[in-house]
Amino acid sequence: MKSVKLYPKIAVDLFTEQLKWSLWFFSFVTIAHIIGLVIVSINDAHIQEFFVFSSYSVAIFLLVCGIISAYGFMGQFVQQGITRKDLYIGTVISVFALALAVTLIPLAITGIEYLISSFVALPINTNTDTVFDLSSGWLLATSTFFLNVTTYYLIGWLIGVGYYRFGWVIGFGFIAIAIAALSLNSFFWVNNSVVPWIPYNSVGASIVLSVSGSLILISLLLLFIRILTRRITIKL
Amino acid sequence: MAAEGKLSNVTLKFRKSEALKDISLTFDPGKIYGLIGRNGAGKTVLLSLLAAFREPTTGQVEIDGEPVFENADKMQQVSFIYTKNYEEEYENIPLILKFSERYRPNYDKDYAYRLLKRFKLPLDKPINKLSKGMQAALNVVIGLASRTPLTIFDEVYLGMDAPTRVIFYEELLADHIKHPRTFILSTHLVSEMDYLFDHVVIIHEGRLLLDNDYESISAQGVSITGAADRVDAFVSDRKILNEQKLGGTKSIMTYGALSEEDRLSAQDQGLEVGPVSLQDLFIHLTEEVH
Repeated sequence: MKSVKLYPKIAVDLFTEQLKWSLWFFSFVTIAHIIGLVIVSINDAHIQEFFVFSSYSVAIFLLVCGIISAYGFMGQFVQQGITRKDLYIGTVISVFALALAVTLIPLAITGIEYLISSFVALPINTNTDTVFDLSSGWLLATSTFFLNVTTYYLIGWLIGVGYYRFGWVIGFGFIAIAIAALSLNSFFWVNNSVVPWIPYNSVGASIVLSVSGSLILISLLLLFIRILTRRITIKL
Repeated sequence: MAAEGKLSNVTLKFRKSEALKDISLTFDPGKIYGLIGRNGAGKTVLLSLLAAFREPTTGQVEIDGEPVFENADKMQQVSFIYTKNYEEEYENIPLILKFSERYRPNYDKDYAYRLLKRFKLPLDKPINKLSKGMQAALNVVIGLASRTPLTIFDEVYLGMDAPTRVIFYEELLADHIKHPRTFILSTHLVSEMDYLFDHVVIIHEGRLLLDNDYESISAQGVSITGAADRVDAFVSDRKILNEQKLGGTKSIMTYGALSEEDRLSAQDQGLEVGPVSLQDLFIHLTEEVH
C-alpha cells in the first residue's frame, strides 16, 4: 500500500478547527471594542484602534490555543493512526497559518473602522507609540504582530507538552521556561512587553535585530517541542 | 485485509515496576483473539504498544514484519479502541465520525450509520451528554466501521447493558466474515465472550501464561467427578486447579488434556468426565500462580 502524506490534511483540519475558535474570540473582542467606543465617546475620551486594542488579548488567546493543542489533539490524532511526526509538521503549518489569520482579521476590522471613521468621527486614538502603531508602516506592524502571536502559540504549546509529558511538578518548570521565553521575546521588541509586569531590557531600536531574535526564539521553541514529542507516550 | 501483530521479547519497565516481562507473542492475521488477564495484568499496556501509543523498554513490536512505532503505513493499519473520557466532548456523533472518515482509508460510512441505528445512538446530542453505555457503543461503531486490518477493542463493553453487548458481539462476527481482519478483544467477561475467540492469550502479572487456540485450551481443562477416593486416585499425577466436595462425591478440575486411554479408564471406574469453561480455567490458572 502506497502511503499518502497525511500532514497537509492534518494542517488543514487543525487550522480550520482553531480558526473557528478564533472567529468566536474575535466576535467577543469586537463587541468589547464597540462597548469601549460607546463608553469613551460618552466621556469624551479616546481608545486605541482595533488592531492595537485587541493585540494583547490575541496573544493570550494563542497562548491558550497552544496549551489546548497539546492535550486536545495529540491523543486524538495518534489514535487515528497518525505518527507524531506527521502531527508535528501538520501542527507547525497550522500554527503559521493561524498566526497569519489572527493578524489579518484584526487588520481587516481596523480597516473597516477607518472606513467608518471617514464618514463618522470615531473616538479612536491613532497616535500611539507602540510597535503596533500603524503609522510606522502596515507591513512592519503586521510582521511584528505575526511573529509575536506565533511565539505565544509556541510557548503555550510547549507548556501543554511539558504538562502532558511530565505531569504537575515538572510542568511548573515549563511555566518558568515560558516566562523566560516571554521575557526574551519582549527583550527583542522595544516597548512591546505583552506581559507588562516582566521587566525588559531592550536590544535597541534595530528592527533587524528584533526580527532575527524573534526568529531564533521561534526556531528554538520548535526544536524543543519536537524533541519532547518525538517519542512521547500517548495517555489513555 | 488482515494484519499480523508481533511482539518479540518485549519488556516494559516503569520507574519502579515491570509491566511486561519478556513477552513474545504473534497475533496471526484474520483471527479473533481473546486477551485475558486480571486487573493490572498488563493487557492495556500490551495493546498500547501494538498501537504505537508507547515504546517498549526492550524488544520489538511489529505489524506485518515492520516496527510499528512512528511508522506511518503501519500505524494506519491499527485501531486501538478503549474507554475514552468524553467529558470534554461537546461535539455530536456525526462530527466525531467525520474524523475517522478523513483518516481511515477503509472507513465505511454507510456501515457506521447502520450500526448507529442498531445501537440506537442519538445523532444530535453532544457526546458528553450520552450515557456511559452509549459512549461505549460509539467506540464500537468507530472501531468496526474503520475496518482497520488490526482492530483492538480494550474492554470496550464497559457500561454497556447485556442486550447491547450481544449486538456488539453479533456485529463483530458478522463484519468479520465479510471483511476478515485481526481482532484483539481484551476482556474479563470471559464466560460471555469465549465463543468469539479463535485464539486465547492469557497474561498474568506481566508474563505470558497461555497462548493457544481455543479448541486446544478447551481440551486442556477437564473436570473429574465421582466417588471421592476414586477421583483422588485418578488425578494423583495430574495438575489440579480446583476441587469441590459434597458428601462422598468429589469434583476436581484438572489441567492437561486426557488421552483416550485415560478417558476409557475413567469411564470404567464410574467417573464422570466433563469440560472446564475458559472462565474457570482463567480463574484457577491465574489464582494458582500466586
